[in-house]
Amino acid sequence: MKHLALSDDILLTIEKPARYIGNEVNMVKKDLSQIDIRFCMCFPDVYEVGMSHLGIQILYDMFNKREDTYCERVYSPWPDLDKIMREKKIPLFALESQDPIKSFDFLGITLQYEMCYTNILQILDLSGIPLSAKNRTKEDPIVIGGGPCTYNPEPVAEFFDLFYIGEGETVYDQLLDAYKKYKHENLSRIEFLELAAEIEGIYVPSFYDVTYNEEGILLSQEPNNSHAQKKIKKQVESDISNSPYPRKPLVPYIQAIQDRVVLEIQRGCTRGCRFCQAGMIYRPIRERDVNYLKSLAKDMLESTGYDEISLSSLSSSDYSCLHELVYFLIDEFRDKGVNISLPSLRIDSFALDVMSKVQDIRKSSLTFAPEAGSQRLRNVINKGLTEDVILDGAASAFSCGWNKVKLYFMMGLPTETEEDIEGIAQLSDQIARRYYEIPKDQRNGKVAITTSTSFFVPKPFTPFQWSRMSTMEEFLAKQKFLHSKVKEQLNAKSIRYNWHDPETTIIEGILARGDRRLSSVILSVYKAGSIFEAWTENFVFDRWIKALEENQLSIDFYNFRERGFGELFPWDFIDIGVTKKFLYKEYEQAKNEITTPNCYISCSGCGAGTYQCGVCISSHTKS
Amino acid sequence: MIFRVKFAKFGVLKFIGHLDVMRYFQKAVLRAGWDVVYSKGFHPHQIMSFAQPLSVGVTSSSEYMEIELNSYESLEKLKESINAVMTDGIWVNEITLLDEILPHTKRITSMALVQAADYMISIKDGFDFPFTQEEFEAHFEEFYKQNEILIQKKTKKSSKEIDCKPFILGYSFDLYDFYDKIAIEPEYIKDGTIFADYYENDRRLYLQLTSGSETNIKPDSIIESFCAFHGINYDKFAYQIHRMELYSNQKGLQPLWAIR
Repeated sequence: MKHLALSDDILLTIEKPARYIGNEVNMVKKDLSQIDIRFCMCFPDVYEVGMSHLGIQILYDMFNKREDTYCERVYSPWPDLDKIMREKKIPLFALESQDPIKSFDFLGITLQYEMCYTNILQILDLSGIPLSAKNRTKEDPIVIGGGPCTYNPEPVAEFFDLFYIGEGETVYDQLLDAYKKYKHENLSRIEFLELAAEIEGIYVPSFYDVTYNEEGILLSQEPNNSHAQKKIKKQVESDISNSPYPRKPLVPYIQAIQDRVVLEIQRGCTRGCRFCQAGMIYRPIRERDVNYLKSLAKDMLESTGYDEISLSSLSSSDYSCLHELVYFLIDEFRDKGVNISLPSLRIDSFALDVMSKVQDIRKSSLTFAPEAGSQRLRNVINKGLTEDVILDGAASAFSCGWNKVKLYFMMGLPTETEEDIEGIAQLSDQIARRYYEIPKDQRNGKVAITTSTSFFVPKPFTPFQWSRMSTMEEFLAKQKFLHSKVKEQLNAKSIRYNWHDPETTIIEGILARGDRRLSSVILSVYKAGSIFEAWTENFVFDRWIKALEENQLSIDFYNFRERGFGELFPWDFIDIGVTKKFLYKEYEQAKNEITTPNCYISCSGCGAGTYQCGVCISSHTKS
Repeated sequence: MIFRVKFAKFGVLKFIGHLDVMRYFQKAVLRAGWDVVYSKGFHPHQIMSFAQPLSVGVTSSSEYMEIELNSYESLEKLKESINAVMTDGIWVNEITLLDEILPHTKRITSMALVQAADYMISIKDGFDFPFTQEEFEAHFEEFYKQNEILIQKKTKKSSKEIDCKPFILGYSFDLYDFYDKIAIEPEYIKDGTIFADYYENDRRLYLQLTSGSETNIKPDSIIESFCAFHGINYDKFAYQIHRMELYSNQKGLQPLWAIR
C-alpha cells in the first residue's frame, strides 16, 4: 500500500479520512528524482472547500506542465485532526507525496477571504515553518501568497516571504526560474527575494518600511532595498483563450462544495458596482473564445465523468456568445444526463428558456441580487438593476411555473436611510404580489421568498474604500428595523428573512482595510486557539477585541471613520490599472446618486486600458 | 442489457465510504465511455446498484455493482476501458453479462443475492496481540467450541446480544484448508486475498460468515467476542479485515460473478 502520512488508527478515528489521502482522479504523479522544484499549493480551509476552488486547479495544471516542477496540494486539517497532529507532533504533509510541507521549495497560499487568516498560521505552525517570515532560513520553503485578499496584503505581510499580485498565469515561470538560479548558485535567501522583487507583480513585504502619523494613519511606505519596486503592478493574463486551463481537473472522492466541472467563460466585469472589489481588480473584462470553451467543456466532462457543468463568471449574461455556448452544451450533453448550471444570469427570456430546459422548475429558485432596497440607493452603488426588471423577470418566471425566489441585499451601504431599508421589505412584498396576480388555477402552490441581508464591508480598490462602515449597534438596529418592516408586509408570511452575523463583518472590515500592525493581532487570536473562523461556530469575537486592545488598536480607527481624500492607504503601493482618481470620482458620483455606464456602453476612463486587452481594445459594444 | 461488475477496493481506497464509491463509479463509467442507460424523467440517472456495503477501513477483492448499458463491444473491452480510468486502489476483476429475464418478472439484484461472505482477518504489525499463530489457532478452536457464541449486534437504535454460531459457516487459518472446508465447487474458487495487505507478523484467520440484507455478521464482532472470551483487550485498529468473496446460496454456494 502507498505510504500515508497518517496511520490507519488516526484515519479511522477522524471525520472524513478521504480529506487527507490524496490519490484522486487526475492527481498528478511525478518521479521526484527528476524534479528541481517542489511547490505545495494551499487553500487554507477544509478540503471540500479548497477542492472547489478553480484558481488552484488552474495553477496545479500550469505548474505540473513544467517538467522540472512538481506541484502538490494541502488543505487545512479539520480541528479533529489538528488536535491529533499537535499531540503526536505529526508534521503537516502534502496530499500527493504525503511528504512534510517543510521539505518543499515553495508553499503557495491562496487568500480568498479574510476570515481564513488564522488558518494561514495553522498551516505554517503544523508544518514547522516559523510564523514570521523574518525568522525563516534556507531550510524553510518560500511562503508566497496570492488571491483577491493580496490586493491588501498588509495585515498578513509579516507571515509571507512574498506575494504574487494579480493573475497567476503571467510571471510564475520567471519566479521559478529565479528560484532555480538561487539553488544552483547557492545564493542566500535574501538574494533570492531580491531576484523575485525585480519581477513585475511580485511584492516582498520585508523590503518596505512603513511609518504612521500620530493618529495611526499611514504616512509612508518606502522600499528599503534597491531591488524593490516602488509600485507593484497587478498581473493580467491578456489572452485567456490561449492561457492554461485544466483539461483534466482533479475529482475528489468525497463531495466538494463545487461538485461539478467549472468552466470560466470570461474574467472581469464591466458593470462597475461601486461596492464590488472583484469588479475593479479583474478589469478589463476578457472573454474566452467560444470554440475554446466548447473544447474545454467536452474534454473536462470526459476526463472527470462529472454530470454537471457550471459556467463561471461575474456576470454570465454579458458573455457575447452565451446563447451559442449554452445551446451547444444542451444539445451535446443534455441527453447524457449532464446538468448545466448558470449562476449570475440575468432573468430574461433566454434565461427562462435555458432554465426550463436544464433545471427542475419545482425545485430550483430564481435568484436576484438587487443589493439595495430602493432605486435611489441602487443608483448610489451603481447596481444597474431596476425594480421593473426584477418584477418583470419574476413575473415571467412565475408564469413559467417557478415559485421560489431568493433575494440578496446589503445593509449599511453609504448614504443608506430607513426608506432604503424599508424598500427591501417592500420589494420582497411586491414580488409576492406579482405572484398572486396569476389566476389561482395557474399557480404552482404558494410563493416562497427568501430575503437575505449581509452587512456592507468597504473594500480596497473600490469607490467605497474611503467610506465609513456601520457600527455593530447600527447594524443590529438596521436588521431589527427591517425585520419589523418585513412583518408589516401584506405577504409577510411568504417572506423568510435571513441575516448575517455582524460580529464577523466587523472583523472582516478591519482586516480588509487594515495595515501591517494587524499581523500581531492575528497572531494573538491564533495563539488564543482560533482557527476555521470562516465557520461561524469557530469564530470568537472576544478574542479579536482583546487582541486589538492589547496592541493598542481600535475598531473605530479601521472601520468607523470616513477616510480623507488625500489619505495614503496601505494598499496604495499596488497598481491595478484602475486609478485612485477614478475611484474617488466614482465615490463622488455615488454621493450624487449618479450612475456610470458599463464598459460596453461607454468607456469611463478608469485606467484599466493600460493593460491593452479585453473590452478596452475590442470594438464590440452591447446594449 | 445488465452487467455485473466485480471490483477490488484496497490500499488507500479503504478510507472511502460506500456512498462515495457509488459516486466514484457513476463518474468512472462516463470516463470509460460506457454506453450507459439513463432513467427517464427530469433528472436522468444511471441504472446502477451495488451489493453489500463495505465498512470504511475494510479492503476487498469482491465488491459487486450492476449496471445497465445500451451496447458494448466485448467484456474484455469494457474491463480494459474502465481499468484505464481507475485510481490506485480500485480495480475491476470480472464483468459478467447477465441473462435476459422473462418479461414481467423481476431480477434478483446483487444486493438481494448475497447470503455469505469470506473474510481474511490479519493482525496488523505493531499492535499488542498476545498470541503466536499456533496459540491463536488453539484459542480460536476453544472459542468456537462454545455452545453459543454471543456477539453484540448493533442496530441504529439499540444493541442486542445474539448467538452467531449458526452464522459462522466455516473458518480456517490456512487459505487452501479454508477453501477445502467451505462448501463451494472448486471451479468457483478464485484467490480472494490477492488485493489484501500483508503483514510481517503473518498471523491471520479466514472466516465464512452469513451476510446479506437479512442477517449480516461482521467479522469484527467475532474478533471482539473472541477477545472477550479470552479476557484480552480488544483494539479495533489491530485487525485488518479483507473481504474475499460474496456468495449466493440459491443453488449451492456460488460466487456472485458466476450467477447470470
